[in-house]
Formats: sequence, C-alpha cells, structure tokens
Amino acid sequence: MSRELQPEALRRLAESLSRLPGLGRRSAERAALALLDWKPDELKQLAERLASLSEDVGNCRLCFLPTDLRKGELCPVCADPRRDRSLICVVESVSMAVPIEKSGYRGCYHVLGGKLSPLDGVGPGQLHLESLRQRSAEAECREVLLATSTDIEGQATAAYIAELCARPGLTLSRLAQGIPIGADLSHTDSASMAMAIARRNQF
Amino acid sequence: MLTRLEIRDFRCFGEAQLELSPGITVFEGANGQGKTSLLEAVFFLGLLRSFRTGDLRLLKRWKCPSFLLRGRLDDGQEIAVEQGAERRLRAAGQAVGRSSDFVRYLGPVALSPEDIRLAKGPAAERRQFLDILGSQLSAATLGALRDYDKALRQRNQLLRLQAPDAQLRPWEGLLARSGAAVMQARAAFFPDLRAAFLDAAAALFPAGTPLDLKLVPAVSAAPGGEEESLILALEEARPRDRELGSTAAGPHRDELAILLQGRSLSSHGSEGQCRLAAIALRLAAAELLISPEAPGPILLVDDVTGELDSQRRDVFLQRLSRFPQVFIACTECPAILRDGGARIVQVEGGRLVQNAGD
Ligand SMILES: [Zn+2]
Repeated sequence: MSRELQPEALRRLAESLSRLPGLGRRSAERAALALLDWKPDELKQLAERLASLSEDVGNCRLCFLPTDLRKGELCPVCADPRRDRSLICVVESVSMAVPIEKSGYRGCYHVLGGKLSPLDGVGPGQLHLESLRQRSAEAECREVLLATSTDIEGQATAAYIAELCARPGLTLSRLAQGIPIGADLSHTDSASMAMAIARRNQF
Repeated sequence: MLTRLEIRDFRCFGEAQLELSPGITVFEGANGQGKTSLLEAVFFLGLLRSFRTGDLRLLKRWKCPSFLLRGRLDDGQEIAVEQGAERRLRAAGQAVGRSSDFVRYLGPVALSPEDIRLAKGPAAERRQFLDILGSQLSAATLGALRDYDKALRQRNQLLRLQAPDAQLRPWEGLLARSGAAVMQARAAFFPDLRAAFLDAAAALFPAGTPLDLKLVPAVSAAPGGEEESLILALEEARPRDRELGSTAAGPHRDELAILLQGRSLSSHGSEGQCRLAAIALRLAAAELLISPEAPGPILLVDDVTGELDSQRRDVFLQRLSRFPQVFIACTECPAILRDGGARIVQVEGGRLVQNAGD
C-alpha cells in the first residue's frame, strides 16, 4: 500500500501485527485496515485484552507454561494432583506442547523457550535449563522425555539436556520419529522414511 | 529424462516451450542468444541452483518478480519450480516442502568452460563436486551433508565465543554422526568414480598419460569406526580449534586429488591438462548416475569442445552418446553430431526454432 494512504498509527499497528506467525507484511496491513472498521468500544475491548496479557498472564513457576497469574503461580498442569510428576516432557515452546497435550499425555512439561543455536545468540543461559536440571534432580522425577524439534538445533538441545540432567535412576527418552498415522506412504518424504526404517519395530 | 520443458521469465526467455527427446539435442545459436540459459534452466530444475552463478536474482528475466520452470519426465510426472522472493516446488501434482525431495528427480550434470576450476582451483572446488555427486546418488547423503554443515557452523561459532566443552560436545556428537555418514558415502562411491574417471581420461588424454584420482580423508578411520574417530579427533583438536576459531578435523577437509605422475595436477599440470581432467571428472560423475537407483543423468554440455583438438573432440562427442539424454549448447553444431542424427534447436534472442526432420 502506498505511504500516502497510511497514517502513522496504522503503519505502526501493521508493523506490530506483522510479527505474528503466519502474517506477512501484506496481510498485517490488511488486518490493520480491517480494525479501522471496528466500533470504538470494540477496539477498546481489544486493547484491554491485549494489556491484560502482560498483567494477568505469566509463566508457571515450575514449567514455564503460560498461566493465569490471578489463579496462582502454578499452571493448571502443575497444579493438578492427578498429573504424573515422575515424567517431564521437555518442549521448546508452548505451541509444541499443544499436540502432546491433545494426545492424552498425563505427565508434566518443561518449556525451554527456544533451542540452542549459537549462531542466533541462543546459548544455555537463554533457555530455562537450570530450572529443568533442578526439577529433574528431584527424587520424584523418574523420566525426562526430550520432545525438542528434529532439526539439528533441536537434536543438539536434546543432547545438551541429556548430559546436563543425567543421573542414576533417571530415564532420558526422545520422541520416536517416523511416518504419521494415516499418511500416504507414496508421498512420505525421504528423511521420515529413512528414520522409520532405521527405527522399525518387530511385527 | 525430460520429455518437455516450459520456461517463463528466465534469463532472456519470456515464454518458451520445448518438446524433448532422448539422445543428443543441440542448442545452436550465436553468443548471448540464450542457449546456455536453456542448459541452466534444466540444471536449475534439477538441482535448484545454477552452474553459472550463485546469485539467484540474476536468473529472473529483467523486471519480472519470479521465474517458472516446468518439466515433464519420461514417466509422465511433472515437476515445477517457481522462484521469486520465495520458492515454490511441485512434483506429481503436489507441493514439495523440502528441496532435498525435489532434487531427486532429474540428476543433471553440467560441463562448462568454468569447470577448469575443478582441476586448477582449490580443494574446496573438488569437495563441492564430491558433495553434489553424493547428494545426487543418495538423499540420505544430502541430509547428512546439510546436518554436518549446520553443526559445523554452530561449533565454529562456539569456538569463537570460547564456550565451555559442555556446550561444544552436543554439536561434536552431531558432527561425528553426520560426518561419519558423509565419509562412508564418499568411500562407497569413490572406487566407481575413480574407475570411470580413468576410463574417460584414457579416451581424452594422449595414450599413457600417468593420471590418477585419490580420495584423501582428513581424518583416517577404520570402516565402521568413522563416528568414533571423528569424536576423538574433534575432542583432541579443541585447544587448537579454539585458537583458530574454526574446526580443523573432519570430512569438510577431505581432499579429492587429481594426480599426474603422482603429483597434484592443480599445481603441476598445464591449463590444457586441467581442462581435460575436469571434463573427465564430470563425465565420470555422469557415468555414476547411470543407475537404476539414481535419476538421469541429464548431461548439459556448454561449449567445452573449444579446448579440444578435432580428434579428441570427436572422441568426446562420441562418448556422449552413451548417456540417455544430452543437451549441448554451441555456436555451430559439429558435423559428427549432425551426421549422427542429433536434434538441432536454433536459439535466437530467447526464442526457439526446431528444425524438425532436418
Ligand atoms: Zn506448570
């Protein structure tokens, strides 16, 4: 869109929106323009909801999942006495915990807040690793499931944690890799297929 | 093999379609008319890179936002790449997410005058040659090379930051695992490469020229023991690597040496010998790709014959007939190809004229 048609406030809003996943510069501009059509009280409500994000939502003291701070320092998972505290599933971000939670997983989580990548300036100090080490060192923890991503940085992060947390009596596991259930085998990418063959199960 | 090629907004081509057949096709035209760009288009469709430039922006037609290349394969499947600010890949009617899954279809090998770098240039040129060939022979090798390269850059960054060993170790483990796969792949195809190189060289060089090809691994290891040897080498080299800020040991320092009478051709050979050796190396690579498991090869020959005398030129051109599909760009089709029944396509200012039944 040409600059003349874009007041400063609109441009700044589009700039903020464009940082959202899935929104490019174009679609952020469209979204900002759409907000222009909202009624003043609707916009005010949106603004209040955005403001309350930083006030009411924070990270769980234990696992760093986002949680409603008005209801306490622990997230619903950590606060739930029926969850299995002997099992900690380590994920890079909340979005990666969502499919695991949907699968019916009943253990706890630990959100790292990223993965190791020295080239991007992410070292152990930038991730929630010391708290993970402390949690895994507690007697009630029996297994740490490393559900970091499958790329090279995710693998390095898993390897670093494995060394960091290793102790007798603690199992370190990794999510199995292979072919998605229901996938068309003829369209499976070669890397997934190679992994599925390397880690095949006895029939 | 390609049976059809469609081009849009690539180099000097606005829109062009071409039906293709097996065997030798000659793109004939004056310089600057687009014949080399046709070879480049096929190469890009196969490997998503150019053999002429590393700058993708140069490939688009002037003032166009993107270019499109589409090919039909001999089994009827279509593959297509649209390259603009982003790249879109399609194969067999489906979007392809990973380039490593896309580059399995064509298997192009390009011979161009710049290939002299292969023989005359630094070791990195010959390593890149090994890596591209390894990637074309096996998708697993391509994956290992990518992992290796990424882990290497991450470890080098940590070395520059003087990070503690505990931070280096995870990357070293990944380097060793992917590096071992790279070393094993190279060791597995090298004997065939050497044999094909010596065979091609025997046809191109004067009889009795004492040539050889040698793979010199930077880290020596017993077969099967590559991963462990790499781990040890990386650990041992840590203090020196920290000083240099880079990783000294590993397959990224392997050498593919072309030897003339036991000495390095790149430093002791003449320019003419280097050109011939580069051609022999490319032909050897193409030879390895003639296999049921690998695609292609499609041989793309960009006027390298200027370097050969008439006798060796004919030997070289005759040799091309053993490949399933060959495209040659030249200003004037050599008689031996014309007489041999090669198809001729005239290229003029980004337009194609087919001389059917010529
Ligand atoms: Zn929690």
